[in-house]
Amino acid sequence: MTRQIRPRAEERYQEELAALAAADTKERRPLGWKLSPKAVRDFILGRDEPLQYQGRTIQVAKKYLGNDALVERCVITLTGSRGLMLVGEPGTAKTMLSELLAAAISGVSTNTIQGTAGTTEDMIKYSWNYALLLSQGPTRSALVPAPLYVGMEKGILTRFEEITRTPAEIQDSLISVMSDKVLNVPELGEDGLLFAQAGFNVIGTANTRDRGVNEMSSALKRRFNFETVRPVGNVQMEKEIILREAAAMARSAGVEMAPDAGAAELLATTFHELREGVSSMGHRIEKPSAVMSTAEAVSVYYQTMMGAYYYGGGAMEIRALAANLTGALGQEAGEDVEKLRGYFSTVIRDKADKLGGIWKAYYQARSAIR
Amino acid sequence: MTRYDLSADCLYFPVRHHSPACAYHLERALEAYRPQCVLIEGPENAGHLLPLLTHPSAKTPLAFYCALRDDKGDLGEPGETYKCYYPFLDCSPELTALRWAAKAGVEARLIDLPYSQILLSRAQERREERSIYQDEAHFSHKDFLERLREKTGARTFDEFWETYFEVNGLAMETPAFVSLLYTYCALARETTPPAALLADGSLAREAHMAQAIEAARRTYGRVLVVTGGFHVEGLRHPTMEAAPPKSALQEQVYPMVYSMEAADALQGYASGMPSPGFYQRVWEHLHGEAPQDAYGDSVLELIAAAGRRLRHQGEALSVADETCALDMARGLAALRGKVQPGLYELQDGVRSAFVKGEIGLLCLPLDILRQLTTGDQVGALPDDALIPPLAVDFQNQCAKLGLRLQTSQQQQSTLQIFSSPKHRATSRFFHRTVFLDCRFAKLSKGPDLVGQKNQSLIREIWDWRWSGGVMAALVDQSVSGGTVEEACAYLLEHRMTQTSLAGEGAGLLVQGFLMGLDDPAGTLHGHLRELLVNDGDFFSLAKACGHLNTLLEMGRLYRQPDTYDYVGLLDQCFGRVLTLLPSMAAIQDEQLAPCLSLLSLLYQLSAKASFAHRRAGLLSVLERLLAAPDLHPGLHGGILGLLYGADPDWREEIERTCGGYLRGTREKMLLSASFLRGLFSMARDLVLVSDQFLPSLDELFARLEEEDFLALLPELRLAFRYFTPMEISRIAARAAALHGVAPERLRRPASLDYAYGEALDAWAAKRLGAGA
Repeated sequence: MTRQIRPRAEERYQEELAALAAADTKERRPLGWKLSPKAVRDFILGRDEPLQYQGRTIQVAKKYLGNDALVERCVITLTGSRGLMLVGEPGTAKTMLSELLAAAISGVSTNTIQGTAGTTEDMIKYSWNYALLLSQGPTRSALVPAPLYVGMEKGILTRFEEITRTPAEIQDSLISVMSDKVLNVPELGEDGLLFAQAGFNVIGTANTRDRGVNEMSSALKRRFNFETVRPVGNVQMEKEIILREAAAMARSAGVEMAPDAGAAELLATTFHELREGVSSMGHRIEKPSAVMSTAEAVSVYYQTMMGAYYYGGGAMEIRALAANLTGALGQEAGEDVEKLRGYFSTVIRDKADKLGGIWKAYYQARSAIR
Repeated sequence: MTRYDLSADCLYFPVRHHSPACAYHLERALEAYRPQCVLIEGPENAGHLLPLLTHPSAKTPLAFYCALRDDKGDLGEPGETYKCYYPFLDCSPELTALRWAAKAGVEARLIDLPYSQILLSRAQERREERSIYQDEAHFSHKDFLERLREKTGARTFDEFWETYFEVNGLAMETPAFVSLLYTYCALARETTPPAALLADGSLAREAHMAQAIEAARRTYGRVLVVTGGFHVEGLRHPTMEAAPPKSALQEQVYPMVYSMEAADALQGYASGMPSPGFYQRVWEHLHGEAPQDAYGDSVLELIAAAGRRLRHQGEALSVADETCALDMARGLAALRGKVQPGLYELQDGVRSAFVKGEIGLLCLPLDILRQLTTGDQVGALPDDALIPPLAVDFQNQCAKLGLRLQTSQQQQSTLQIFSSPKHRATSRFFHRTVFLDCRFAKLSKGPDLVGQKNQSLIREIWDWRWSGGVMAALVDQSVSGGTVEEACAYLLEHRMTQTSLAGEGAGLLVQGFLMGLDDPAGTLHGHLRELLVNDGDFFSLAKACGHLNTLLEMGRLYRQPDTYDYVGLLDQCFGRVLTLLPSMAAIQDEQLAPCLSLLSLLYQLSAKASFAHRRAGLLSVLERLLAAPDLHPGLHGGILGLLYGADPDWREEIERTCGGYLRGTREKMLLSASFLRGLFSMARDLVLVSDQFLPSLDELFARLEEEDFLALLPELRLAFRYFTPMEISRIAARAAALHGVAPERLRRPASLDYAYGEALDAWAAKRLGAGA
């Protein structure tokens, strides 16, 4: 069994991708793509009929829950000459979507630039192996390609995570590449022109809580189609995501434990209502300043699960769940904890009265919130 | 199941209302079948209006307007009005059939029950329905549809419909299209419970229509029936006997111009299609040079139109963006299995390529696209179209008053309402049109008796403009009465019975007064008396007092006979207010102004002979209020001011209280300005006439710490607002004299110079810095 903490998307869904590729014979396929747009959509949104592949029945599951039309638009954008920019609150599965798209379209999801305040042009385009540079001079073998170079050379997607965190002048180094589809390496002289191969494109993600996309130059904006990814709008769906993601994390950590649907429902409801500012019973709720993302809910769930696995004899404790909620509130904890307490003493109290059962236990666990 | 059989003696053609694909295939079916008679699902009592719809100078959108007033209470509350519209667009299959019949010289009939009969058959179950008569309500709300939507991956039912019926349906042969529609409708019908069909009157309607079809078949050899697809099965196998007409409700049916906006399902027209402007364009292309590209061309045009509008509004939008949007729409259509891109691909394309950055609540490109796809066309009727008596009366009145309706330009009239009887009549007419809400005239300047503003003005200036919208509004109001006066009187009475607030009721009386409406039966008067007894809301009663006083004062000025016993009403109101007043001590700050103006009004009234008997009661209530522990300081001041007006001996008490506030704890001290505000609003002469008050006030101010005085200053300015500039100068001169300063030295240059401003700024900054 693999010891890798988190397998790459193309490895995790290896079989599904192979089965889709084998069945994908009739549809038109853009140059350089491993699958047709229809098959890419099926891979991400799932398909009803299972596929037969090498004598086995393979069910293609829905991996991205939420907005189907958005996924369709993303796929079509990538068939064109513009890049795709996914913007939205943190924890809205932008990165996951970009990974899935890259895995399905190029078969590689790891050709990625991670944007930080310290990202330089070297990390985007190319740098040099200085030992070789000194001994051979500027040759192709002395050049160390960075993800953008790799994407152009191989005709695969380049992912640019958190693009707005990089300085504006570094972001702008993408402009010429994206419009002319050519990268000039002046050190290589006449052989220094790298023409992008079919299949190359860029998927960027940008987080609206950081420096926003407003600071992006309009020249660069023009070279992208923007898609706004919203938080999951449906409690039931959020609950499914929590259960599925936590189960996957547990599996890769070698933890064998039955999922607790009740706990997932409590979490999904709490996160959903705090994010929306209104409860299912109509209470108006003060919204915490922290991002109440689904990813955060997953981590609270997983944390509680691990606590139960190592210390609690395998059963998730509601009290621990409530205590872990404060962890999700982040830096601005002071005020947010008050808001969370307020939420418990009004909304959860009324739910406990009306629905009883697990909600009652949740309400009784309110003293664990500190 | 029903078959599409051109050899049958009766062909049932199923449609969705306003669907271009249905209309397109219907055109083909009409040519292939060549019926001798065309039967349409529409109210049979509108049959005489059909020639108007197919008239060469008629322009869609048009609608039949049906309305009735249920005076006897057969449907619910007696006196309730009901109305509904049957809209027609160019792409409505019904209109397509009517146009074909008119051209071919074939008889066309409307076969559905009249609106009143449908209401009667639903009366027991559905009393509070939306006014639009919706027979496709089952379509959109069934689980069956939700499943369909889910299975086909569409976001909404309308998107599913567009993919399978509108876009892909156009590419099908007519028999195949109709068969698909038969299947779909049979499934929809099967999943609708019979009880629902009974409750919404569908079964009664189908029985009636089936009877009409039978009658036509006896005369003609080939009959084509155009109805909502949902009804086809019910028409072929009616489960009910057609009933003879129930009770004779007076129903009016008129043609009216309609708008695309009103016909948009997204704006609430339940059995419409969304975005009629888009489908209108598709329909035009279907009859243009390249019908096979109707959708693709419409999408392209709208992308370009949206781009043009955005550039007009200063957005940086390039042709590359437009190309990208079109590529997106086409790519999505291919991905979604549509032969051409439709409305939803257009929306997705614009969203993807035109919106830069995060999508918020406001998104200009999508807003503009929404306007374009809704459309802004307004219909037109032939000149000789039947118009309801209300509109005829409106036009006659305009002619009589010399208001020319030949132009749709905005015009202005200045009315000398107090001196010219003709101007007064015009003013009443304008007020009536405002009351009917027909967006004809607007008072731009003049006394506002209802809002109790500008009552000293003696002229009214009105802006008015004739438009198709006014006609539509008049048709819409025609259910209320046959003349403008009648409609206003009816509405006035209706609203009076609806309200439970005396303030509103008295406001209606003022409106009636402005409209010059009599109350021969005394119903308004009686209602208001009841409201004055039952309304327990102090501020509503206060408002009623104000309105009644206005009526009392203005009656003579407007040369109107006193229809009502205003004195009696006002006296009753006065009495009610007095009983509630003692509990009003602790009012909110924002309630102070209305409260003070009410007290002042009551006080002034009690000086008149007809209300003199109230004076003693008023004063004793005021004195009792003074003893209330949580009395609002502004009210406190106001009451003392009034009492001083009645008896100057109160001056000492005023000075004592004033000192109490100014010397009180800091919190109370800060309220003193509010106290003075109330005081000055009622008794300005206290400062101007009395020799003692100003010096003692000055002494009190002098004792304040500078910081406290500055904190008080803004409110003090408000308090002194009640004095005229001249009076303020006088007060200032006297105050200066108290400190030995000559009045001349007070004069400041009229405009502050810049250096002084700078100095003041620096001083304030320093103070603020020191405080922080």
